[in-house]
Amino acid sequence: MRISTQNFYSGSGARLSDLQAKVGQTMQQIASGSKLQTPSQDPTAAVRALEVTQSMAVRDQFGKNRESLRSNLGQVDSTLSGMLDNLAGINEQVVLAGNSTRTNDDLASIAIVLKGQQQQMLGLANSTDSGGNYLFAGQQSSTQPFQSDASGVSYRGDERAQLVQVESGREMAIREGGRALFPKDGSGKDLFAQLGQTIAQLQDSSLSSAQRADSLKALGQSIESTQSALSGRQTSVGIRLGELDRLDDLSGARLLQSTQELTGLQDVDYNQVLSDLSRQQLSLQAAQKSFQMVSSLSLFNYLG
Amino acid sequence: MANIFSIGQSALTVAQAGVNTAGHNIANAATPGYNRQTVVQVAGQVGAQTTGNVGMGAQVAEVKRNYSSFLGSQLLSTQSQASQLEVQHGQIQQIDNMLADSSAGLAPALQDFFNTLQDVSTAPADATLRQSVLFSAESVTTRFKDMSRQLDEIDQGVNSQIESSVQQLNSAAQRLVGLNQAIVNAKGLPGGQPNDLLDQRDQVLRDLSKVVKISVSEQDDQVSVYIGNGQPLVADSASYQFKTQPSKTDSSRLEVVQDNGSGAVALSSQQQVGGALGGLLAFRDQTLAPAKNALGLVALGLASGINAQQLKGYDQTGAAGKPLFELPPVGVTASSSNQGVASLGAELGDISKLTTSDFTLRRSGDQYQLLRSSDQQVLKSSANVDEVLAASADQGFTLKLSGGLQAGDSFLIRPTAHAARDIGVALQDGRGIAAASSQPAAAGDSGNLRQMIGLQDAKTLNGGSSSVQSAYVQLVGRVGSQTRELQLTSQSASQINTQAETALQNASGVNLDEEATNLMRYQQAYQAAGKVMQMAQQLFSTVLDMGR
Repeated sequence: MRISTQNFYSGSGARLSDLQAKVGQTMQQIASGSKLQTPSQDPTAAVRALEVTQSMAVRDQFGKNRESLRSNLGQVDSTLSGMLDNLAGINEQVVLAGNSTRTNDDLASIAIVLKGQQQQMLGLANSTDSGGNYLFAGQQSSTQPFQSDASGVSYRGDERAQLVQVESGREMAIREGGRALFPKDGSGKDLFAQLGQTIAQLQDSSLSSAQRADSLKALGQSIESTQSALSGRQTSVGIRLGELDRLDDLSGARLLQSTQELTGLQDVDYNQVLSDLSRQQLSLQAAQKSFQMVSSLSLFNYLG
Repeated sequence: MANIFSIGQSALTVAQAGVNTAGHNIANAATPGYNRQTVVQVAGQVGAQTTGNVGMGAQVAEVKRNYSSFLGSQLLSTQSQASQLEVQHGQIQQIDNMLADSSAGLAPALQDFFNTLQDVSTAPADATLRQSVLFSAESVTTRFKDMSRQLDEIDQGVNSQIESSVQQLNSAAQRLVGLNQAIVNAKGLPGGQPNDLLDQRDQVLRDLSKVVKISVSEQDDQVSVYIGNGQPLVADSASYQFKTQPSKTDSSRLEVVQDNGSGAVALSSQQQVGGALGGLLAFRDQTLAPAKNALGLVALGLASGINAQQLKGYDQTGAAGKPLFELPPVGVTASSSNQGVASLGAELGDISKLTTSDFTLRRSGDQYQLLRSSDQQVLKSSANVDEVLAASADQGFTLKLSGGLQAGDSFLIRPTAHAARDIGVALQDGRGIAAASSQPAAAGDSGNLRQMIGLQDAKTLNGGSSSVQSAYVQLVGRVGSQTRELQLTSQSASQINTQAETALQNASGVNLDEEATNLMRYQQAYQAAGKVMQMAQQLFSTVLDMGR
């Protein structure tokens, strides 16, 4: 077969630059650690990598949402514990006041203690989170939910929960209303109203212990129902905190899966790529060497 | 006796022609398009033979050009195919690279936007969180604009390459006319074939086939060249020039036209234009424009979805929500050759029905037509213009015409083309985010906000089959596989072309070892002819010496 000398040179040149381009690509993969430099290298993997990255980012955001919830629910939980402690203190004073041997002075000082405890309870019920949002105001989270004036304590929040997404398809309440924490009895009075009435009666020395007994009894019942409401809320918060932990575990497991998938899609398999590189290097060297040898063969070398 | 001198001299002349031709071949070994030449020698036939069968020496019949016109014309077609695919691949790689960069760009920016909405849902009254939604919205729109700008730059690059291709086309046409003439002239002279002019003309054709697919016919030693759907480039010893001009409905788009006497005819990517020019036209229509529109569709999906939800809620001041994004308008341009006074307005309609196509509203005779550019399908044709206008609703937009269209008038409607460029953030104040679902807006009401968050996964686009994010992923996938496919087809076309080129070169290119052999052969022939002369001289001397 005839061979055109010019074509031999241009063909060899083209083959050498092809081989060099391949070495260059492999080196780029090694340097970047990624086998997907552009979507075209593996369109299916590129699309999948985008989807996986996206779902990881969404999951990551759910994790952040759960963090906010955990922090808020933790505050709610400790506030509820404080309120229960406070309620136990009130109950102690009620028991003390019920003892028929108390003097008027004793009762007056019990009234002062109760007044302080009432204020403390009000303060706890109006607790805010780090962002200044009220914990027990429902969606009215920037309105102080329990406001006291001459006519007593009234609730200004609402009963609508603030929901936050914690997992795809699962929303959880980060803030709820507080009205239910202080249930009303048959006469339409809640803990604050009963406390107010009892304190007033304890301070009124004209009343006999028998006359105060009804009020103390009603307060006792209010304490009981409030305690069960507070514990009920605390239980529900505890259940939610538990669910957040489980969701974290689940999400961690899924995140691991996604990370592994992404690694498989994107990351360079160094064993394979390094062996590719040495193979490509070898064939480039061989091509260069043979080009050098063959191109130096010319009949003109022998014409003299 | 005189005869042997002339025989010797003819041998010398032939040997000299052989050495010269070998030298010419060696000199042109690297000349593009050069075909090796060989001396064809025949036995001398001067005058009548005198005694017996003694011959009259040798003479050069012709210096032959070793050229295979079959391989040559095969190379023209493989070259066009290879150039077209190489150009298309080179162009699409730019988008491929851009999307590779932006996979660390638009997708995370979109994600961030929804993340900041999620953050607000944990404390809807928080001013900082609300403001950060607007910051992330700003960075999403910046990414859209940035990508749109890059696509526009690619478009401008395509325009300038089209211009230079057309210049190459025209100058090649003129050179061909000149070479045609020179070849005809040379053939009229004694001395046989004008080999080097023929080589040059073949080389011009070969260079031309890189720019455009050509069909060549030869008659009376002149070549005629046609391109596209038979538009003449060189015919009847004249060249027919092409030129570029902006499209009548889109001034940023250059068209390649030829004035055929009855008006300008444009080359379109629907024809088999081939070559680099065909690659550019095909890339622009099949890849660039759809990619621009697909990006625009993602932008529109985000902006219109969020805005619609904003309008359903109440902001922090209790007022009804206002659009968060500046929604890009539907692009409408009237053809610069419209005769009528009509003006056309367009509004976005059902976003799920939007496609990545452009549309044309035109009047042809007494028929009004709505044409979809992507597949050149006439969606509606009627003499009643209102029926045609109404047909746009199924494509995700609505049209309103005022004034009358005359026959031949047209409008280009581009619902998505400029959306990525024109999207912006309308809200300045984070309080304007309509998180609340009811009135009066409670500080912690995030009902409407959570609906907005839901749009991240909601399949609002492509007939309810894609979300905003998945529409973007589809764009990346589509460009990725197109690039991959072009890479493969371009590689194989280039291999086929290399094979054709090698076949031609091996048949007609110069092999230096062969020329070295020829040199030695003709050198020896020259020496032998010299000996013949010397011998004749000696014989002659013998005769002269006899008289002494």
